[in-house]
Amino acid sequence: MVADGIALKVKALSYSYRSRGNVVQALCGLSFAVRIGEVLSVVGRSGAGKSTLLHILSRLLDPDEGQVEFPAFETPPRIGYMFQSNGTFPWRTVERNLTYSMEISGAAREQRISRARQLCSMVGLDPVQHLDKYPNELSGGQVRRVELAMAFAQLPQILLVDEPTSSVDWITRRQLQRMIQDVASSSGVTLIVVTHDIEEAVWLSDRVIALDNGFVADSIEIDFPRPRSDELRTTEAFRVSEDRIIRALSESASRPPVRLPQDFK
Amino acid sequence: MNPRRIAISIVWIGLALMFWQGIAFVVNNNRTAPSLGNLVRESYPSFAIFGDSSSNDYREATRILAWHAFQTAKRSLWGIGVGGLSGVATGLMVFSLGRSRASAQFLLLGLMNVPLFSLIPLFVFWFSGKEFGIVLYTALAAGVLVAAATFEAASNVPLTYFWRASLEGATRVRILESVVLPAIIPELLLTFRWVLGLTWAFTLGAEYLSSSSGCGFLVYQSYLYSDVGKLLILGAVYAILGYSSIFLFDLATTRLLPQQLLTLRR
Repeated sequence: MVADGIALKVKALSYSYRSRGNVVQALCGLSFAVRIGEVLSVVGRSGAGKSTLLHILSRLLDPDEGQVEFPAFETPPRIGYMFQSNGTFPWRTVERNLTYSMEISGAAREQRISRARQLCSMVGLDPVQHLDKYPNELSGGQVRRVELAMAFAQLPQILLVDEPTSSVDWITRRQLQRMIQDVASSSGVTLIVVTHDIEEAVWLSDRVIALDNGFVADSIEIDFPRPRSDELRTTEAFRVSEDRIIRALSESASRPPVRLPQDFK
Repeated sequence: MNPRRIAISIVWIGLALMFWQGIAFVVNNNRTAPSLGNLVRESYPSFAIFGDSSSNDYREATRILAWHAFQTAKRSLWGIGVGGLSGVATGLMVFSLGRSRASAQFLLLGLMNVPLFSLIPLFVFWFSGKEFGIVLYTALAAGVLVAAATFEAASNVPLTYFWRASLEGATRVRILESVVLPAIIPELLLTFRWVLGLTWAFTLGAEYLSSSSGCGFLVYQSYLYSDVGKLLILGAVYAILGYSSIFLFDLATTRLLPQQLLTLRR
């Protein structure tokens, strides 16, 4: 790792796709940078390009224009991805889900089991109880924990998390948020979280960027000390940060999404 | 096997037999609508004439029916075995093609739209009723259906499965083997079950036109002599073959495959 301080630099990123005959500009000259170990949340209304951004950052999609650089890394960094849905393979047990990448690289069985136990404990699940279970035998919150552990399986240097708590009840949501905070701070990973939940974005992040029509509408620094407690959510300063994000999103909501002519591509 | 389902099946079979007996009573003509008694006393033992016996003989008739049923079962099994495996391989291959996938898919769907039974005369012409021709036809018919179903099932695998596998370092072949195949097994099992039923019809069609053995051959002979009694008995033989094959298939898949794969429904 090079002591640059910047883990990831996004330069003038553009991406468009076709939807019902129209060309939708998902990202439009998007630029920002993320520091090493920083927790960055990306918020924005539906279709603002949040998930597309994660797909490009993880190299699952190629941008139309612009580039993603990793100045702090001499070789491309290991990237973990916690998907919004369908993150686990339902025909594999928790243990075999957690060690899929090790299986591919040909790691020995004992090594895989030991790593699976470690990952399971990291996300607060009992290995004895849960490793042999299939995803459909777990609760929604437990599945999200397994997915978080899976994202950590390859010891990522950058972790991308897409809507980590969108489908769980609020108690589980808080538990997951605490877990993400603990895991991120203990591992020192650079974390990028896409979320609709503004409270979650403020509580988890060092910085929140509001996406609007494919570019950064606002970037808000959140400088609450860590580790953060649940009481923080009730403070005035917390509410001020939330209000600023809501305002940025409300202003962007009044502008129509960018639609390009059909022959754009 | 669910005892309630067995009881319901027995009741339905009983009702069907009573219904037929009623028709036989009304029509009162053993040639067009033989009674149940006539089926047992005349039609069944008369299958003996397809063997060495020149008169009605229960023992010889049973041997003849069993032998021909075995020939049909053998062809069907070869057909679905070869066709099923090559169908899965073809479906996966078309799915994994890159840029030429659209044209291969077009070809596959085009093949699926060819009326499969209309190909029988062509196979008779090419292979003049040889064993290989019958098996090849059955395999082709089963294979086309399995290939199309495999392709469709693979196309419905959630995109995130592919993304996750490729992020974790899986190659294209590894993704096919460790993601696509297990993800489509529930659909494949349903397809195989469905095609297994159809394979008996494919074999019947092929034997009907071009073979000197098998139940299809017996059906053809019985049809030539307008022997409704024999046709009804052969219908029952086909029902037993079809039901047994589905029963054995379910039994084998339940025993051999992990329960998790069988219960998966996306």
